[in-house]
Amino acid sequence: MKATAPGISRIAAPIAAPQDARLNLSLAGIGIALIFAACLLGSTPLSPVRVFAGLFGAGAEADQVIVQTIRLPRALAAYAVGAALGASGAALQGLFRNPLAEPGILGVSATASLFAATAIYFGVADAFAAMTPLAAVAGALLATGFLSLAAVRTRSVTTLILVGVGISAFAGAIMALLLNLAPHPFSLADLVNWSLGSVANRSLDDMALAGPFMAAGLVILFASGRGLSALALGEEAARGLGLDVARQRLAIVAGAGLAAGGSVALAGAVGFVGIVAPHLVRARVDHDPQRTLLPAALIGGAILVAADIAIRLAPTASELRLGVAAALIGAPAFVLIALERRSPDG
Amino acid sequence: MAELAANNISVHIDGATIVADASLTVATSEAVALLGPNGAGKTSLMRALIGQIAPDAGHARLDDEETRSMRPEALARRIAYLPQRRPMAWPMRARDVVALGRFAYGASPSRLAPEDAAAVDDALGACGLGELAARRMDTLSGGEAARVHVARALASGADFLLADEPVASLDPLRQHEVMALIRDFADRGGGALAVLHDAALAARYADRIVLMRDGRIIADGPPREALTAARFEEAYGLRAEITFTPGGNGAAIRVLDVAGG
Repeated sequence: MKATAPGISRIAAPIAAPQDARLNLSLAGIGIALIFAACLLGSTPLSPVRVFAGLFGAGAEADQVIVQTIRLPRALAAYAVGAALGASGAALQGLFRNPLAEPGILGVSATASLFAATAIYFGVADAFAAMTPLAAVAGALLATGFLSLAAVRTRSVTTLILVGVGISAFAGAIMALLLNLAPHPFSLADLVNWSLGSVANRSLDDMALAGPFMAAGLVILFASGRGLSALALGEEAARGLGLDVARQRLAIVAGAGLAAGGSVALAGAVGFVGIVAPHLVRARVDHDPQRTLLPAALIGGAILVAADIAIRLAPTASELRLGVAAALIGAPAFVLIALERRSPDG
Repeated sequence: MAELAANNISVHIDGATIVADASLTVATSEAVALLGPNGAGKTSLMRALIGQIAPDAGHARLDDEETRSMRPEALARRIAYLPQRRPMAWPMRARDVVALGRFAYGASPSRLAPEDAAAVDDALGACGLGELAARRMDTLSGGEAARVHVARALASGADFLLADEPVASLDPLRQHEVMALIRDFADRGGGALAVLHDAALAARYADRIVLMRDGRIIADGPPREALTAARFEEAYGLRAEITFTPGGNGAAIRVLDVAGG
């Protein structure tokens, strides 16, 4: 019954089982295929061959400009936002031990959108273009910062979720106030943009601004995955397993805040991806919260690129917002998945 | 030999005294049963022992070290803890749950070093879970799930096992199965402390019985000494006739009437 001596001859074991590698490679492949497909769409008709050549710096210069500076950034933005939201959702669900948690429920997305909208409303964004994304990230960090303080104070996950709901409601109320008082239709449309979410006309510069926040968030989340598996047994047991629960909570809240804040900076508030993406992959990774993170990110990215393709193909007079499309696809899927959970082996 | 000790621990919550000046030791190679009515402070004492709650007075020490000041992973390598509530957030596979017992060694279900995997396999075998290792937790019966949690504790290779009502809501056979695993753990050199409600079960499997009431420890000793009719009535408010099988460790408790009222 003596403890095995720690730290000796630890042979690096593969991070995931072979089935995980297959799953993640397939999802990544689907994502790449969808990004390529998204690059085929646009006002200038381009053949797949010309798009392919344009992507890799060959072919006509005009093709390269169109593909590399207009179409690819939009597709990549959709993918990055989906991946950040998918991983954040999976991580928050693991932390809160609740499949319905996501950045939206914590009020992170709402606060981030509110800050972005405020920057637009008071004209700060006109003076300095980078202000809008910076405001969004600042809002997300304020929300996560507040949540981390609350997390240290209260040990109850339920309380933390309720605090998030409160933040969300308050941010929503102020947003409604701004919409209500919007002086002219132009600013109203801008505010609506941030509430509904879109990746139209995103540039590589936008990506460069929001990308580091999303990347930092994802790094923190993936580094904290092990603790999420321990939390499957409940906080008391997880603490007994040797997990520093307070630090774990802080890491996930900060990581999810950065990733979700960056995604709002890039695309505004896009809902449901954070709930649906983890659900779609969970059963394939034996319901292990740690192993859910990567495929949730990969499928989240693929979902939003597919949704962005769909809104451009849809025969609507004005282009649908990505957030609207995500909700239209995500909400019914979510309901179906929720119902499936009632089956005996679900 | 290692020793886990509570020295004069008191715990107050919102002005109420939950644990009052309680002292108790668990050494390796012994199984101790912690008995007492609901609200006697058994769980709080156990949680104070492993540093999950800070006592208002007294100390909880593992050998010479205060458990509360030990790093969580260092503590988890020495003491495995099975809380009373064992809610599974996700229907993970039984083997993955047992693998979490290796968490303090840097392992996770999807990343087990060879010695972690060996410890997991040993624990699954010891608890008779070989066939069920790949099953999801939501497909297991209550008795099977209880054994998975014991296996999770065994996989940690810890010196001590603290189990809060490990046999709650199990049928008599499953209760004996789980207690036999805990007894076996002690026989192989581990120190076990289990909160139980069945005094006869405790007498059969434990080397020592500790009786609590109103936060105080009112008896501590071998089953025959600790479990007298007078102490039993003092603890539970039930008049009972307690007989031990001659030379054996079987106890029969016949409740006569409710004394307390």
